[in-house]
Amino acid sequence: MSGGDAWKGNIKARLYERVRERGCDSLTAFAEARPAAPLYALADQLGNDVAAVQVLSGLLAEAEQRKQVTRFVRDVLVRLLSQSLPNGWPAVLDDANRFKVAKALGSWSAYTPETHEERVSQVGDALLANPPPPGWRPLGPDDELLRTLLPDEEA
Amino acid sequence: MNIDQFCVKLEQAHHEAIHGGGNWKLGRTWPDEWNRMIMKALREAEAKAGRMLTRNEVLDIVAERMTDYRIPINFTPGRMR
Repeated sequence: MSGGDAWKGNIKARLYERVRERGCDSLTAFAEARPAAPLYALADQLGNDVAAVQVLSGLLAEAEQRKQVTRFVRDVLVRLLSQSLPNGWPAVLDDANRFKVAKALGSWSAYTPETHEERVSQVGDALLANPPPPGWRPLGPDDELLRTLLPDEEA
Repeated sequence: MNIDQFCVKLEQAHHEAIHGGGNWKLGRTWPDEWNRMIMKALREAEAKAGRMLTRNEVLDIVAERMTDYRIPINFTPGRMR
């Protein structure tokens, strides 16, 4: 993996050049056309010199402008869940599955802006305390359960 | 596995790969962002798991997040002890 190139040159310019080459006028539009795809998959489609965290940063910046940060935060969880639990929420939370859930929730916290840290942690606890139906796989940030747990609050 | 000890070794092992990265947002250099992010990911995963993570579980999480950063994964397991 020649990852070093992802951190050279004008990162933002490269990111948006690639987005435009793929016919989208924003990262948000590019990502919405690929619902629930893991972040690394979004980056791979933009080039192997684009890092998933760069896509993440760009999506957050756009979300801030649109005042849709909470929706962005839900979207990040959706993508992490599809990476960690490709078959959806486990029927049994045995040790191995508990780790997969914890991995997704932990990374969700790490990728969440400070403004939403506490709520994200609470949502994680809520999902563990009252598990969704087995096989639950949110398909996007407008998933009903996620919207209930983490509703939009922006004015 | 003790996450703090792990992160010190991780930083030592990948100093060269991490050093010299470009800025993205908020004016922070991304090594700081990486350190903060991976510590958070590990601690929160531990909290949600309700127990200490095993060595393999820590490596699992770190490898995934390194992929997200496009950091080449060339662990030398012996050096990580």
